[in-house]
Amino acid sequence: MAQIFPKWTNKLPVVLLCVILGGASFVVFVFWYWFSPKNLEVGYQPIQPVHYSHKLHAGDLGIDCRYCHTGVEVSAVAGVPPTERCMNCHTQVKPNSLKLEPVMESWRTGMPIHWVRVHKVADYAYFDHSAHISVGVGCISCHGRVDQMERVRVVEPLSMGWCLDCHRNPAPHLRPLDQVTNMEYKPTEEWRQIAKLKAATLHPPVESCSGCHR
Amino acid sequence: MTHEHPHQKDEKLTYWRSVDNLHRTETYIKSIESEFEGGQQSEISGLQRRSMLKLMGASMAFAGMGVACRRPEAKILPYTKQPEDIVPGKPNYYATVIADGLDAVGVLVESHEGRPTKIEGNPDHHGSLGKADMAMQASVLELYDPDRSVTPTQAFKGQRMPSNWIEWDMFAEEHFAKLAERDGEGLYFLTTRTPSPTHLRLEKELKKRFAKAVFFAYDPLALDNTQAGAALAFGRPARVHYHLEQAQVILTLQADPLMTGPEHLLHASGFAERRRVYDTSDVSKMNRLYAVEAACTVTGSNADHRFRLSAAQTGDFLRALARELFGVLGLTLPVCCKDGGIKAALLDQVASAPAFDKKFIAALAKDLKANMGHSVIIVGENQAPAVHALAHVINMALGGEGSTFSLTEPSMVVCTERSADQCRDLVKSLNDGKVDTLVMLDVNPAYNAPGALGFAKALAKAKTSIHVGLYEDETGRVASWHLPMAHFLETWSDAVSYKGVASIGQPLIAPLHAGRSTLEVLAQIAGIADRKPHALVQTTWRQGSGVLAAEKTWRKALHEGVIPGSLSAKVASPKVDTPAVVKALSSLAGKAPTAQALEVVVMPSYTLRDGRLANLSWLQEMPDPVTKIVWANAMWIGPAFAKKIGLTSGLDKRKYMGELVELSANGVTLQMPAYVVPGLPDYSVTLVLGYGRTASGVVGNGVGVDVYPMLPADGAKVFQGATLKRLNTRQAVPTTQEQFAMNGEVLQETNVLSMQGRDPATLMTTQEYVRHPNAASAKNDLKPDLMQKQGSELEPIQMTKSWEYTGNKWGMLIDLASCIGCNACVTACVAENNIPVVGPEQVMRGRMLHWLRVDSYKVGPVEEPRTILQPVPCMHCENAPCESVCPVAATSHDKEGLNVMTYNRCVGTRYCGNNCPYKVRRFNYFDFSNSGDIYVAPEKKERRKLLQMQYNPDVTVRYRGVMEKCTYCTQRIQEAKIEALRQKQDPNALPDGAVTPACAQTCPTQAIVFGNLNDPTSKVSKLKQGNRNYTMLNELNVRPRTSYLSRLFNPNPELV
Repeated sequence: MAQIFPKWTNKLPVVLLCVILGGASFVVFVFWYWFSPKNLEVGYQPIQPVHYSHKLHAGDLGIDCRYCHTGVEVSAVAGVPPTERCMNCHTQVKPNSLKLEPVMESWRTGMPIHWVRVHKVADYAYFDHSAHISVGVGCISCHGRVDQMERVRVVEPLSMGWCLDCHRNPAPHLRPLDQVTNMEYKPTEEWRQIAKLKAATLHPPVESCSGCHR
Repeated sequence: MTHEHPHQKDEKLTYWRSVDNLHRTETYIKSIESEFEGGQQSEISGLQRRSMLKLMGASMAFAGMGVACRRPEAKILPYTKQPEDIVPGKPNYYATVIADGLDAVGVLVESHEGRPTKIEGNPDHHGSLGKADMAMQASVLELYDPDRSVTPTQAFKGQRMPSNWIEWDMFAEEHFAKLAERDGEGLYFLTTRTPSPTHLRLEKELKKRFAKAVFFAYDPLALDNTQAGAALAFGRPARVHYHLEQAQVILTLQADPLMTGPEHLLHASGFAERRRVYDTSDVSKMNRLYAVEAACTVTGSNADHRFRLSAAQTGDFLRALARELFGVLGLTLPVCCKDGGIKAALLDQVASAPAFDKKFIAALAKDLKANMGHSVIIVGENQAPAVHALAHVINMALGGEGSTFSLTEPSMVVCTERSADQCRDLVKSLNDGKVDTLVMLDVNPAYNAPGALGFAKALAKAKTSIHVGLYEDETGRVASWHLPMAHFLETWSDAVSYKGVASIGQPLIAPLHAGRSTLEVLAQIAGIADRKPHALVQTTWRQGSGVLAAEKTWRKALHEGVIPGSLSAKVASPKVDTPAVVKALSSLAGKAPTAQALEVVVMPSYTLRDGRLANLSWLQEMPDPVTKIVWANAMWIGPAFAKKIGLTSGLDKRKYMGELVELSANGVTLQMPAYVVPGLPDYSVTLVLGYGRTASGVVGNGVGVDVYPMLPADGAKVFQGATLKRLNTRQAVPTTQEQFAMNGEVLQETNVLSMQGRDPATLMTTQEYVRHPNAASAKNDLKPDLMQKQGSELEPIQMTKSWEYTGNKWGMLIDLASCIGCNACVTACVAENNIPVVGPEQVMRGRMLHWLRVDSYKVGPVEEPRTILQPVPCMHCENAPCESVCPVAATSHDKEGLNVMTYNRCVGTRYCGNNCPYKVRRFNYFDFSNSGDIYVAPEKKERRKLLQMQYNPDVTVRYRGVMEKCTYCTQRIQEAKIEALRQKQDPNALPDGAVTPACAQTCPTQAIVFGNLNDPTSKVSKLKQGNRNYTMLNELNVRPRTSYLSRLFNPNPELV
């Protein structure tokens, strides 16, 4: 009597299993890779057109953040410095360095340097730097130890949940207003008490959608 | 069917939106059965379901192939040298000036990193006082209009050839050098009557080079009759300025001072100043407006007494009034002015005079005389100079000089010739072959010259014609050269207001399309070496002992937007030339129109003006303040005449179907739909200018019917003897008059709920108000069945938890007594909030996206109704019906009382829109914002690239499938709060005035008040305590945060 099932059907369960597992993991991969929010990528560290080191400038040399990011106290955006700001020093300091060539070129031609954006909040959320700086949230709370980064990288997820964690409990992130840009700042016990009192007066938007979405 | 006066039936007023609505015809009821039209497919979209699936499949496949990348790399491009004043993320404001006909209005322009986005009025400029009208708001869209011409073009063998500025420069140098040899014989200029001192200076320079050159100025909306009337009355050219804030009694005769003509913003604000009645004790201060008119105007809609009268009989009416004043009431002219036998002349022809409503005239005359020194008569441009002159005589006799009106010397631009005559003379010169070269600066006579002149045909007889304009329009298309003009936001300019205040116009952006300003072209022709507009304007004001010679004064003038001390001189002790007026009186008599010989009144479009704004989609989609027609014009016809000839215009299947008619006058026949406008005289029809453009651009081309061909050679805007023929076929007229109705018609019909007494508007007369001061606010009391015990007190039932407001608590109040319904707020809202345009097809489906609309209700008989105009933004309810039905919590309450929309959460169920009793929610049926200024197929999206430069970066651009609505300009609230943080102040207790929404900011009458309700000293809190305050549809217990002060009429007690 002829076999009902040909011999290759013996492999069918294994093949089916492989296909199902492979397919399932492909679906997971597709959603993970292409459909997860694009602004949540902690660790994103793009290559910049200029080999600019925050570690050197902000860390070792101790230049204040606001020397370059001038808008941070008055505007929604902190601002990336114009080429002119680089040239304030670099007409004197290492003017012939090869690393500076893109900057020099921009200075000569008047064409802007194409910096790659590192930190990005979703388009539909309106984040304002000055609002946070004005109440004493340190740069470090969202950007991490930029003074230790050769190349800037994302250290916090910048998601709505992450924003709300702080909005619900701002006290640990508050600093005296003159310590906002200080990367080494450690709060004293006394300040912790003050911060708690201050936090209670702030009422940052938590359930008020209009605080961030317009 | 008879038109019953609602007062006769019962005490309750009936508010109606249209004649059909009042009579509740069967087709009407059928038409409004559902709020939204079924089915959302549209032939315009082109993207059908099947192709959508295909596309989706394809994109999935591409995704799988790794074409997409995970995180799109975004670039940040900083300045190389950052301009000193620019802080990225913060807008700057610059003062400049918009010249408009004979007037110029100062504006402040908001600029985001060098990109002008919004125009506001300049508070320091006397003609604006910080307010802006529709055209001013929309002028920023004109800057980015993708249809503007981008390069010079030349006519070549009947075709247009693209050219460039180098070719033009070479041509111009040679051509005008040749003309200069002949002293400019055959050189003609045609300009608008621009009030620019630099322009006038350059004209003088041109005369040096071309002694025989001829200058003409033409503007279809010129004030020829007004100027001639003033000259006739006062024996000298003078400008008359009306100060309505001083006027207790105002009579307008075919005039529209609140909306059109010079200083209309001032008129509106002055008028409203005297209508702020917050208590019964203020009633005596309220002004009274009588409007006598044929067309339905905005001024007429706001009148306490509107008397419909054909334009032809207006002179007779005024004469009858004068007879009553001088003859019966014994009014005398002031000592300075000779009587000149005016009384005798007026009494002379009593027998032959037509009879008007004696009671009305007697009461009106009495009212005018009783308020001597505070009464004024304003005559419209379409009336003969003699009517203007007689009005001036009466005004002088009423003693208003220096109070309700004043006279100034005509500033700088002295033009005594009639604009229409100049156009006629030019056509004659063209036809006589005298014109060698015609230079046309910023004019479009091939479109807007009176049809009888045949301008376009005559233009071909000029050997060379040069057109400078923003668009290659009807004139540019046929001229031998067309040169793109720089927009006023792109170039330096100067302008003098009607009152003589001069301003420097500064550019906000470099010319987008390398256009040149008219000044630059004039200077080039004059042979001036440095012809940069900046240098030209500087020479005018700074050369030698110029007013702004010092750098400091120049900078200050730029900063303030006003040149100090530049007001025109007042006419010292004006006298009326009574004998001349008496002589002119004989020309006043007019014949009443009949059904066989109709009167045609032509008025400029409220939105498009003379047609030059036709390509601005914001204005095309801005409902006409009177008829609410969008994207079209129609012949306005009175309801009585319409009924008499059996016109079938009316609402049918949700669309207004206007019956097509043929109107013949002056040997021209126009075919257009007829639109029934309650309040129009029986045998007078109204036509609207500005439509039927053929070369305005993608937006304006072919919209409506061009009325200019019907205008007679003298450019008269009123003519008699027209005949009407019905064509028995109908055409849809897009109008929003019947849309977003909230009076519960449908529910009433089906008895789902008892909606009797559901009146959104509240009207009262001053007499009623004094008798029952709390009639309006009494509506705010809830029925007991909507209350519940909360502790020991009765509180309104609340669907959700009770809200507590510890910080700010925003609220709005709209005073219907001061609102004139001018639509400036709607335009400001469109500009501020990135509101897309949807096009006529979509408007007719009820898909318009305006967040703020101005509803128009009528009360009373269809022939002579009263109008209530009611701006309706989102009410921001406490018990918001929209919030409770949203399945995804995309709309929610915030802690300052706003009902907010989170677009990125919205999935588009439209439940909220269905549940909103005020119909203020708008749904993006298509990707309207992605298609630019006109809703077109997706492949034409490149239009958007330029237009999106106008977008406000602080407001989300909404995508297809998302619900949206008024946010109280939440971006401004947030900015004010953040600014308080920056200043180390408390953001949760902002001072009054820290936040002003776009609508309130631009409102010329300051009818919209916004502020913090938790602050008992804020203006809005105080006004909400008043007894005229009422909330709309209060019986629903949704407890709106936007409330109204009832519409108040101030009728003459003798006429009630």
